[in-house]
Amino acid sequence: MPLMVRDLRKRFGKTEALKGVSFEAFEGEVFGLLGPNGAGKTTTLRIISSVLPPDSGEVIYGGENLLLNTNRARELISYLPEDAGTYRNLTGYEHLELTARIYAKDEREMREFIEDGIRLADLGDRLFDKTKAYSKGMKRRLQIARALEVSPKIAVLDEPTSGVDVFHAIRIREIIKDFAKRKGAVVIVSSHNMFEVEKMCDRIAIILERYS
Amino acid sequence: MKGKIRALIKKDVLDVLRDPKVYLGFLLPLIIFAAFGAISQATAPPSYAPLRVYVEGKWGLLTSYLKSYGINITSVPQGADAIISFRNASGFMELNVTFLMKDVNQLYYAKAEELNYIMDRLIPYYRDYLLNRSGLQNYMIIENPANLSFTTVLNSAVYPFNPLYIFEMSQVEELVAPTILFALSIEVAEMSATLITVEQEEKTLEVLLSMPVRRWEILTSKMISALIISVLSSLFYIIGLFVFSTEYMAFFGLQGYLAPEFETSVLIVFILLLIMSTVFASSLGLLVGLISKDLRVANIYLGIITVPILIPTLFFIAGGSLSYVSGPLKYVLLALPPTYAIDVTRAFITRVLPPYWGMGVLVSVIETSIIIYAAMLTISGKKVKLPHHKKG
Repeated sequence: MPLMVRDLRKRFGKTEALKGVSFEAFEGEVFGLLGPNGAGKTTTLRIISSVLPPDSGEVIYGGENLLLNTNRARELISYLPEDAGTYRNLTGYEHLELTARIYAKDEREMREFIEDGIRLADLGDRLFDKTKAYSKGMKRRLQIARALEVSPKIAVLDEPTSGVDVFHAIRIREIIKDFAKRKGAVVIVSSHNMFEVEKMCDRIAIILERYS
Repeated sequence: MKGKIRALIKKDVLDVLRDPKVYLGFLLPLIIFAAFGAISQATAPPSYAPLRVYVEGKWGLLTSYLKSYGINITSVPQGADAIISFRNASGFMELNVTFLMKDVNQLYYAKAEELNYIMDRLIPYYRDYLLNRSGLQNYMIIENPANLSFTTVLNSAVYPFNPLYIFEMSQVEELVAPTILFALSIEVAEMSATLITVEQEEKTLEVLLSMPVRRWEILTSKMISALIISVLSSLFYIIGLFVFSTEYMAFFGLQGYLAPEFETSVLIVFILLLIMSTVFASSLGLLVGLISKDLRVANIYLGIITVPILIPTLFFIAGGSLSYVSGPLKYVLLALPPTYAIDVTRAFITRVLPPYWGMGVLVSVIETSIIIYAAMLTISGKKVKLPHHKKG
């Protein structure tokens, strides 16, 4: 079942941020959204994740326009912002547990989500440390695990390897590719790094026109 | 070097002063000074407190002495401020002054002061009278010829000591209780504001809003979290106040007279009003958190919301009493939930609930509900701050 994004438009004051973005992403593939800084990648992903309302356009999944049913959209989509932070005084495990509790339908599913999260984060004993003691790479792995542990139908990941070292980046790319294939989910990632896109994505779309 | 420092200073000053909200903070001292001026005027002690005394039995010397000070001697004990009784036991005079109080306020303080002034001068007056009359040389009689003792009746409580002791104790209570309540309220408001602003500062709000959680659920969880923190802080406040009172009474050797014998009803009402006042401060903090885009703006708004907490604090520290204040200040005080929480602390000494406590419950519920409603509107509408401006 594809995710169809049609003619998304968004304006911030006098600035036209999106001028009709359209693409399709399929289940089991990693779809890359490329473009220079300020092209509108983050705005597009925020709109898909129903964090930001568009001025016009559609996000269709399973025959339903998710922009008209944001509660349904939030159940289907797991979103990872580029600069997502963590609760400093919570442990990594508590982050995984919080997300699992919000998405799970019952206790059994919640335990499965957490087990998946632990495996994806792969932080060993450090998972039980407060996240204020984590490196940037560890935090990003935790965020990826948090976003994917709940087995979303659609995963929206904004610059998933942003700010992490090359070793962590390789591991994160592997996790994302594996997740898309194994779960048959629609995964949309944004990046401005061609090398990363080549390594990770099955198909891409490029937003060329800058608005700033 | 100079140029670099100047550039850095310019950067900091412009960054702060170009935010118009900063000027709200600058206005704060003006508001506080104006409020303090009005409070000082309203809490000035009464210039004249007519003292009415009933003398049990007939003792011409005493009545003529009292009359020489212009004391109004009543023929019946009802309505008297003090009852003076005396008896001649085996040649020794025993004089007891019972001071009758209904409240611990400036009016009774003025009367207690006047009574003490007069009774202090009675002893040398009576000693001189005895010496002149019969040339008695008994040391005991000369040193304290009237064997003067005080009893203070404060509503249902009877204390075997001078009423001024009670005012000394209440003065400390009047200083300590409002100061700590002020600190508690500010702390709770700040913590509540931080619950929201930290989500923006730490960049966790966007993830939270993308999850299958309704916005009212987010606000409700924040409010309950703030409530837990408020109640926890209030409990520490209550324990602290109890420890302070016990230690303070022990310092005077008065264990068992005041704080350890709290009236249950007073204690319950105090806890109720304290929690309501703290929840009020907490709801203000939540609203501040919601309308602030970062901690700096939140701190400016928090500065402004100290005013409704500061006014009753200053009023009670200045020795004010709701019974003797009038005009606009009274309405301002009655409109502020912290007023009632502070006012009721006096009831630990008077053992009678202040007349306004019921209104305190009502005012706290109404105002907190309005603030919560405003917070609901804010989080469900456009006011939720997201980094929309970030273009990517």
